[in-house]
Amino acid sequence: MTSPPVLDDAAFEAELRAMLARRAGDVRPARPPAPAARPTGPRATRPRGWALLAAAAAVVVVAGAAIARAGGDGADRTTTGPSSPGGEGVPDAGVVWPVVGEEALAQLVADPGDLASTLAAPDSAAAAYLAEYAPGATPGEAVTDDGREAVVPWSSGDDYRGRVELRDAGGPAAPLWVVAGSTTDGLSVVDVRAENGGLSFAVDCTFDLRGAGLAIRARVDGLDAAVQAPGGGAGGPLALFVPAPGGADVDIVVRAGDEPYRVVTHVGFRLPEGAAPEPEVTPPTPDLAPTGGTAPSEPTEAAAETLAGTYEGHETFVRVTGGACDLDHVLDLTLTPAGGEPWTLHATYCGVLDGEQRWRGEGPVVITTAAGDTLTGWLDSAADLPTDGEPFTVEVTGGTGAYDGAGGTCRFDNHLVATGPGSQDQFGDWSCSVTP
Amino acid sequence: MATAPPDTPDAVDRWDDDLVRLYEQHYDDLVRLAYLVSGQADRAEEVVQDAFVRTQRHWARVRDPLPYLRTAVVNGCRSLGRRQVLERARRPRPPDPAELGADELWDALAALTDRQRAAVVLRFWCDLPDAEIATALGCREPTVRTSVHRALAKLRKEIDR
Repeated sequence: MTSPPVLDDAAFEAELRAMLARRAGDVRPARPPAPAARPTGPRATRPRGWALLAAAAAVVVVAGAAIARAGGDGADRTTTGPSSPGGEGVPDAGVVWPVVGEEALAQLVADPGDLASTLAAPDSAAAAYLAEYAPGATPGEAVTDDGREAVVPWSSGDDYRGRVELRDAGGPAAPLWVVAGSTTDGLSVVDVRAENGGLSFAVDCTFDLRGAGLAIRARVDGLDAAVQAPGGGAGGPLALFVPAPGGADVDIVVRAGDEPYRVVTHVGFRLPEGAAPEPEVTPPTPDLAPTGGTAPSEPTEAAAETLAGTYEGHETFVRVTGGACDLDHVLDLTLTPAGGEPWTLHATYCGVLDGEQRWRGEGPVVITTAAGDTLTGWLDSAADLPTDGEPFTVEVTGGTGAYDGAGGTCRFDNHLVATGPGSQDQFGDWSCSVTP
Repeated sequence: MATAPPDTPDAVDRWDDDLVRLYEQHYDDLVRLAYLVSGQADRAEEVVQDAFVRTQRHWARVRDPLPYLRTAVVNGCRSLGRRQVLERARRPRPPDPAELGADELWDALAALTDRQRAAVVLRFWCDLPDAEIATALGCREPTVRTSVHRALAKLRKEIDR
């Protein structure tokens, strides 16, 4: 038996290029003429039910003006179903929910051949949804009044309860149940407003998460988007902001639990067209863009400013599957500058495991000063496991107020103490060199 | 979130000539990109069509259309998520590989993480510089280099087994 030849790096890369070029030839795109690509593309070849599903999903999204215009201040506001008092059952018309249907549910079903049967009943559609979004939750039995809408209650142990709301997008002859959203008792998205080129909202949690923390994700028109924490919320709802253009569909998922997620509140909104000054849309990146909604402070000299102090706080993380991240992290720190008032740092970022020994984490971060100005940037960290802390950095790429357009680097020495599964306290020293 | 494509005549009319030109020039290559990143030939066109619909919707504000489209395609491939993983696992090995190591390399590519696989395809098939790969993946350039380095190491390890 002979051994395969050992290729040097250049030869291996050449082999890789050749393989990719060869494989690229496997597909023979049948490009429909523009702009009628969609109606004649592959979707049209799906079973008739899928077309109905897509159409119905669109009706659900468009029919409700997710954010009813409020007179006077020009802002648009509403509260979502789960935050409304007694918000049981399927939301009334006028509230837009994230329809987890045509595309997303297809991902949740292991065998495409099982898709039709899975979506034929609300119980199985809800079970598939929960298996992906809150695997720690156990679905109950579906309740439906008129056969077109259904509620599937779920529970996580004795502590947490909620409901998955569904609609039949197919009709009695060929039912196709799509998930319209999910609610959790005591975990709501509130104070939703379209303003400053995006959607501001708050997450209100009234129950004890027992240190599990919250994982908050947002998608704008189906693409992952950075969630900014403008500050505030201490002891109350957590105020957040997602940059998004007018007319965009914004999908918010709030989850909590140890491992895996045990609760999920999932809501969606469509921003009014031209509702607010919109940021220019560039290729989507996780970088945080200034919201443009904060009145700038007095101009400052463009000289590097060095800040330093101590910090302490808490981090939670949960294992996730099926995406680019192995772990979802939520980090909240209090930074105390020498001789100054406390600042806050919030980061919701992605952790990747290389085997079980090497961990790397990165993602958007927002530092909010005591005066309410922000520094925005990118957190980058790595460690060999197990670890009791490794230094990490934040590359500052922008900010608001006194730090509008800021750049620089912050360094954190890091010590951590595990406080439970997926939960750890962090503390140490920090310093930032920032050019406002 | 499922969003209706702009199929109405008014919406269709808003397709800009430049977008149509992009569509005609790059559709095929973007489908191939989607296939190489996702490993799913049957979903590649759907991913690309969704990317064009999203781009069309924001056309007036899109500054760099091709990178925007590329990012949308890569994100679309990532969102195939669990189904992609399962289908990779079921993918049959083609008989009689035409060239030593060719199919092993393809299978090894499927074992990479989403980010590593996308980075490899963007680097070695699209021949993009690190900055453009970073834009497409939503990460920083050092992360791109790290991803490619680790991916190559993992591929070699798989092939050398």
